[in-house]
Amino acid sequence: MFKFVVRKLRWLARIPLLPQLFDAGLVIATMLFDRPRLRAMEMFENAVCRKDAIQRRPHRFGGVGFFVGTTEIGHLHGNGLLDLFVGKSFRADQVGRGRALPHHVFPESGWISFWLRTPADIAQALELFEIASMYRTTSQLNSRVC
Amino acid sequence: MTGGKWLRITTGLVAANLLGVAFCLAFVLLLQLPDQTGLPSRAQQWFYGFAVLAIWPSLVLVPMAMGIAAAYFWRSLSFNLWQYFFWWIVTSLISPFGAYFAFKEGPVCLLIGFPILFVCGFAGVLVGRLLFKSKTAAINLSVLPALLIATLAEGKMRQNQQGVVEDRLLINAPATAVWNYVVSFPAINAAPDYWLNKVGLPSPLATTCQGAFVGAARECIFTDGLIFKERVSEIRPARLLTFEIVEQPSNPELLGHLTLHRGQFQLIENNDGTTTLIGRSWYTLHMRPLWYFDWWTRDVTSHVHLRVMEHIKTLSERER
Repeated sequence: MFKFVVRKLRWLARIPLLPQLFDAGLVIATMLFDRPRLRAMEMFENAVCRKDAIQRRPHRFGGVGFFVGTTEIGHLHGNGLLDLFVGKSFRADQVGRGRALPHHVFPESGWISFWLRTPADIAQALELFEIASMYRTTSQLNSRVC
Repeated sequence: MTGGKWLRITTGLVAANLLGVAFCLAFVLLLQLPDQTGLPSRAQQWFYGFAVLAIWPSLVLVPMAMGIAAAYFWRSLSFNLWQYFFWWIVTSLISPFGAYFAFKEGPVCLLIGFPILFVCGFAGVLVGRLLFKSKTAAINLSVLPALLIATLAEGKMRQNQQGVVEDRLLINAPATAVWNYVVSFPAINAAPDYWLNKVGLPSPLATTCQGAFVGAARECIFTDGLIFKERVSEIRPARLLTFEIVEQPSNPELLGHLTLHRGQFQLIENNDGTTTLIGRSWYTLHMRPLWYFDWWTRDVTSHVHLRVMEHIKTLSERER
């Protein structure tokens, strides 16, 4: 269902608030049918928010967006799917080592996807988040220096 | 739980519902204003047109605004998602109960509307919890006027939805036998099997008709004593019966929500001793969002058709 909506009905995301509505449906379904996943999502969100520079905001495609200033590090959908931007080289490395999946919509981009299913997945998710966070902040610094 | 925490929870709960009520009252007042201020007729027309087009409540955006308002007052409480979920259930249950007791709204309509209020409102809560916990919470308050503008814009795009529902049923009897029960039929004794009928939605019971001629008065009687007054407008024996609905019962499930215009039964002889019976209803839906309430209207109308058509089938096939 999620796969169908994000692949075939992506154009609907342009309608304001519709992605948030869809994501609320995902959160409700996760709450009712998959409590370990919900616990993992909450624990991940809280762990990320303890980092000073990270801000949580509603994401334009629904779910929780994690930002440093105006730069997006990644976002967490209501079904526990974490999308992070790590750049193409890191993506190939992480996907090649089986630590992450190619992005669920744009597999050839610099984005990766990771499923948070239980609290046991948090450590790996945080490591990937750290890579994404470093990649973004380093690129920002490089662009400023150049 | 401390007193301060209870106070914040209650404030959020009350504020969300007050916002919902404020929206509804604003719509009612705006619709009544032209009559009471003695505006010139052209201005009145414009005003009324604007009110109808732009101010009718959006059942998606108003609950979202309610959810955001609740999240604003709950922002300093360290709620987890379950706590947001639980308190939003409590908050959103107040609206339907209030509408039932204060505005005599129909319980079936409220039951149908509740999921959309709940899900859209919870989406508002989820958006609000992020907006007001971020480091730019004060700036994020601007989402409320933006939501109001979105509500108005959504209302402006709305048009009354006219539609027709059609259902078909194969009957093992010739058209002449079926026709005997199309114009009018005796009471349906079988208990309805549609779940909404079991929770209080009236179901068709019997139909009476002055006769098989154009202009004949017809009455479709529902449980709870509801009567749809109809007038036959087109008749072709053993082939077609069309009737206009001249008076709808003043039932809270229908009033202001749905207008039924006409109904039709068409019989198609299949030349093998069977007949295809087609039932059609034309309606205008006044509820928003259309995609949601139109689905329900079609489902309810289809069940009404099929209950009548199954009864006609039983009576016709018994005759053979």
